Amino acid sequence: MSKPLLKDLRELVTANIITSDTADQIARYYQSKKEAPGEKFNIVLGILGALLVGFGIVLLVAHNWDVMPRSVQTIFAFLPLAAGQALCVFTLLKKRTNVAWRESSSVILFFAVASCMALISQIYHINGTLDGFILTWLLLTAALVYMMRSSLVSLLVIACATWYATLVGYQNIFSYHHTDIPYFYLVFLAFIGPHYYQYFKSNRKSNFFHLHNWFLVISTVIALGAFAGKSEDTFQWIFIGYCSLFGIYYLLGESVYFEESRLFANPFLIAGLLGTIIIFLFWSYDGIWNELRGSKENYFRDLFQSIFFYLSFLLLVLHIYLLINLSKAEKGLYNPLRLSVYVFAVAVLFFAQIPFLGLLIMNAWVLVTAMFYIRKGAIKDHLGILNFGLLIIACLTLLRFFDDSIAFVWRGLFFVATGIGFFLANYLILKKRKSIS
Amino acid sequence: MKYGFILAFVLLAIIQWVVPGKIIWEKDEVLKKGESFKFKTEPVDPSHPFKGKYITLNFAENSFTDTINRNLAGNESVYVILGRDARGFAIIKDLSTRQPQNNNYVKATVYYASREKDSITVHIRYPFDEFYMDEYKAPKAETIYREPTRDSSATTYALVKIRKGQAVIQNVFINDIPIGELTR
Repeated sequence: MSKPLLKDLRELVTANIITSDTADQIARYYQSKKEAPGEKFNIVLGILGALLVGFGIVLLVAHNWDVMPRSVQTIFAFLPLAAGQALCVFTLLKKRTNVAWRESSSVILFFAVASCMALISQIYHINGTLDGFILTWLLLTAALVYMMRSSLVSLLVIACATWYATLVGYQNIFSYHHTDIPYFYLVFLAFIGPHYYQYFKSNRKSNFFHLHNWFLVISTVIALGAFAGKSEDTFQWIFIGYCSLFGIYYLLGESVYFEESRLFANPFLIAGLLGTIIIFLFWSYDGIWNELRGSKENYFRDLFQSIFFYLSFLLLVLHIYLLINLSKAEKGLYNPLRLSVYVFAVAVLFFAQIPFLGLLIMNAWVLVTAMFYIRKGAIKDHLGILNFGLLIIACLTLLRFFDDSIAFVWRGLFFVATGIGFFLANYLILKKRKSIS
Repeated sequence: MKYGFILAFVLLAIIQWVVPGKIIWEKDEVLKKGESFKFKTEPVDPSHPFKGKYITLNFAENSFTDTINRNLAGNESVYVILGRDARGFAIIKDLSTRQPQNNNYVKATVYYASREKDSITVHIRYPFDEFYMDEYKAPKAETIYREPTRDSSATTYALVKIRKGQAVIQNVFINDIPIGELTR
């Protein structure tokens, strides 16, 4: 237990604020809550060691020891695999409850499979794409998540599945080759689902739960675009899809499940908020609206053939479902940012031919969002939230600095007004605090 | 429950051995019993994050022209029936969408097909265009290849064993000397 807390407890007992019994009870409570620090340290060291050994084996294999005879190389291909499997069997038999053993042996086996596959490919000069390699690797190892109850392998599966999705979906995006849809990414995500749900249900304070949240958020943000293919004619649906995804994350981040989380333990809120604002700022330029102008041939045919349209639609429906469920438990200030995806969808789908109105909606919505945070910051007496709102306006102002379509005078006035707003808002909050104290 | 986990793990471990083991067995069969073909080629040096450095082999004999329309499109599989020219290098004798009866064929992928006046040329990609080398030797291999190209009589070729549609590269030669020896 921490020394300052013990000192405080002694002080409180001396000052007759609490009895020595209560002080003992408090001390015992904190003692029982605390995990043995050595155990946590061992887990971290074990995981780090296994990761480094795993990467090391892969790199050693990649050197290609072609001076060795084929038979020796084949033995070396299976050696790490056998060692990894032996470690896993030992863990299952003797160290089942030891997290460090479970995670380390699983990670070593995870990389041993990759090194075995790589070495066999080298020996027999087997060609094949990197995405094919990753897919086979994951198919041979993903089951370790449940067999070994390994969260680190689960994180590695998410990371490698994202890599796979990127290779399949984005690789040929700027070439004349066709792009494929990385369906297996969804399969792996669904496969990880029950493991994540276990954490969500019963272990929400665990570091692995936070890591899973971050990995899932980053992974899905990267991989969603990989399902778009080359549907240039329906590109506003790509943004609707992303806006829905960020909207869903924002709703989750704000929900009761993450209410008590610190900001950095809530990637849903961070990604949802920043993602939505970035999309709106991006569409506050007239260049992108001009791309939408003019009727496109076969627009609806292309739209209904695009898998991304259905994916975006599904995300939109999920957003509506979450919004309805959250609205029931609505308390206090209504948050307009929850409706951003609908504002965005209406603007890009119905005002595509009237860029002036579309631009107006985008800029106005950024201002509404900023005002909401400024007001929220003022009500909560929170300088961080208030300045975040002001920062959104500052970003909009900065972007308009390069916008030639607005007269210099207006841009200048807008800048001055934003600067004054910053000073004034902070000054008023600080003044309010002083008067209260 | 404990033994259930162990049983499931043993099953996974067996699969982890069987998948690469099957590849080894198949490739060894080709190397032992397959017929050798020499494919004229030029090596270029890229890299794979897991498998390491290799040279990509751009084969000279990579297209076939005739008048038959097989309705082949990009990424489709096709059987390439092989023969040899007067100097002993591999040539494409025919293409087939059905598995041939003899042994001298390889299953390849259509890159693209182009139609001219009354002929159709099918460009193909062989399933053996990567030759893995020591990380220091692979970049040298390309440089060495560029040098003898000044001499028009120099030939670079890949010796490939082929059996029942499967193929394994045995070695790559520049003027009949293995490329590995030249890069030492």
